[in-house]
Amino acid sequence: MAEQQEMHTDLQHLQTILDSVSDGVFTVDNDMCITLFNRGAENITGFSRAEALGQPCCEIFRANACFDNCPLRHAIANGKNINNREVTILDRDNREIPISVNAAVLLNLEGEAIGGVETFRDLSQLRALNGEIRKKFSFQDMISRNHKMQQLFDIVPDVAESDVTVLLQGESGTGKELFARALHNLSTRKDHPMVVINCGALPEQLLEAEIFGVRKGAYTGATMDRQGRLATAEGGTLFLDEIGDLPLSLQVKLLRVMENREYQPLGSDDTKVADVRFITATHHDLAELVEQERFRRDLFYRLNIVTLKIPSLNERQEDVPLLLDISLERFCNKHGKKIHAFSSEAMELLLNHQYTGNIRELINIVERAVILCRGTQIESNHLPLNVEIPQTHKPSTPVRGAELKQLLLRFGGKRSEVAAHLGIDRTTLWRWLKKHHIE
Amino acid sequence: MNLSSVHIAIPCYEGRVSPRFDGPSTFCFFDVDRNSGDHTMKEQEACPQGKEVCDWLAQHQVEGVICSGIQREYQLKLDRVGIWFCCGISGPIAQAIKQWAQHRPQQALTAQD
Repeated sequence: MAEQQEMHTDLQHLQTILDSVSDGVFTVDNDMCITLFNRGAENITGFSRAEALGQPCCEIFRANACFDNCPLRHAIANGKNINNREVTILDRDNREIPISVNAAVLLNLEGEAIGGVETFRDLSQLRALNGEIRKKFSFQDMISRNHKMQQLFDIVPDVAESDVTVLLQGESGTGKELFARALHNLSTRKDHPMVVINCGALPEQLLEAEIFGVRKGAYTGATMDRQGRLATAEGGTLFLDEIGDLPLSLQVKLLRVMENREYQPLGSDDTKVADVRFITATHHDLAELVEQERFRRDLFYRLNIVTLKIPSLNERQEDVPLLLDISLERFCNKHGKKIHAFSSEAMELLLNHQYTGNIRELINIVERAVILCRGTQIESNHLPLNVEIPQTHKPSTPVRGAELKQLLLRFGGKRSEVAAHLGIDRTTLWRWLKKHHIE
Repeated sequence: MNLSSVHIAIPCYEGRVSPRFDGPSTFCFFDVDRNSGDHTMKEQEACPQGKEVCDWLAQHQVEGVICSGIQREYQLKLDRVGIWFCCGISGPIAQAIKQWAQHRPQQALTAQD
């Protein structure tokens, strides 16, 4: 009798302890029916303890992962703990709540599984904070935490207003066209068209016809008068992408229209006047092309009034997690998928990858993964990356403050996990955080 | 629309009401007599995944859905195709339909409620 009383008291104490933590905690038996449900679980799910006890846990949690990828079922079946799995539950009021789940098997004295325990944390606030961060670092259709990009975001409105010719320089896939659109959208020409032409995509004669227009009979196949992109862009912006590939003969004609606003369509003697703003872009070093006499010096100076150098993705690696999240969200919406995160192994691969194709490559990798993924989490086998995951990832020098903040955000503020990720001990991490004044 | 009975659909798993409207691979269909509440299960059918399920239910001339959890997007979609829903119901299918047929709320929920 005394033993029973003691056990009852112990259980009461355990319940009090569990109720004092803000995380949700519940246990199940081998039939996956709930045997314990703390106050945190009540708060997050909206179901009372009385409603939950004895019910199949899937009928209380109503998570997207309940039937095909249940962390708790997995932990019980395999005897292995599941850590930080993100799933989305439906609370009592049918609100979708993102939670981070840890699950473990419960064993009796004989070592047999008698059920499982799951702890979970509401990620809504963290998600909201992420949203705020996104807002803070967004500019037009772009986002970046990188200081060079922030500087560009800062000057683009002034440059846009000035109506001068702008040269955008950056590797392929860095988002030159997005900058061109931002410059157009923020200019007084925003109500007129922005017309794009890739100077490297067409042979010389076709390119000339495409930019300046063509008179019927100018060349075989020119069966009618056709206006060029210059005329289409009247009052707006003409974005000449890959200007470094423009043939020398057309460079003269372009220089003339930039200086005098006058041009003649191909095969025509009529002089037309263009009211357009020119934005140009290249992945080449135009100064070098000038030295090689592949680009006219006078045109180079005409273009080089304001040059915006866009950093490659490898120069702004702190943006990779943010861009991955945004791309994931975008492609989930596009393809109607409910994928909430990258597994830590997939994330490791993505963070260590050298994106030679820049953001375009990152976006394509994520879209492919979203299409291939059938679960709620992108796994490494969904990625076309042949990079080996480093067994120990020990930075020889302290990582930068921005990276530390990003990692803290990624691991929900859990320092032990950040330290484990970096392959350092908690004391070293504490020292680095102190050095960067991170609370 | 049949004037004497209501055509009801319930998302199901293992003989129970599915915890999520978007979760199950099958729906059970019932005809419930409008006056007596007597009900008969008509069929159980595999359903399409995603929001197509709402159009699929409309094609089955379903008037109402009894379910447990249902996300806002599905509530709106059901509303758009003219199907009401009664959510927050869990447990065995037989019990769920019996209870609903007995009490038959005068007005079931729409997404605006």
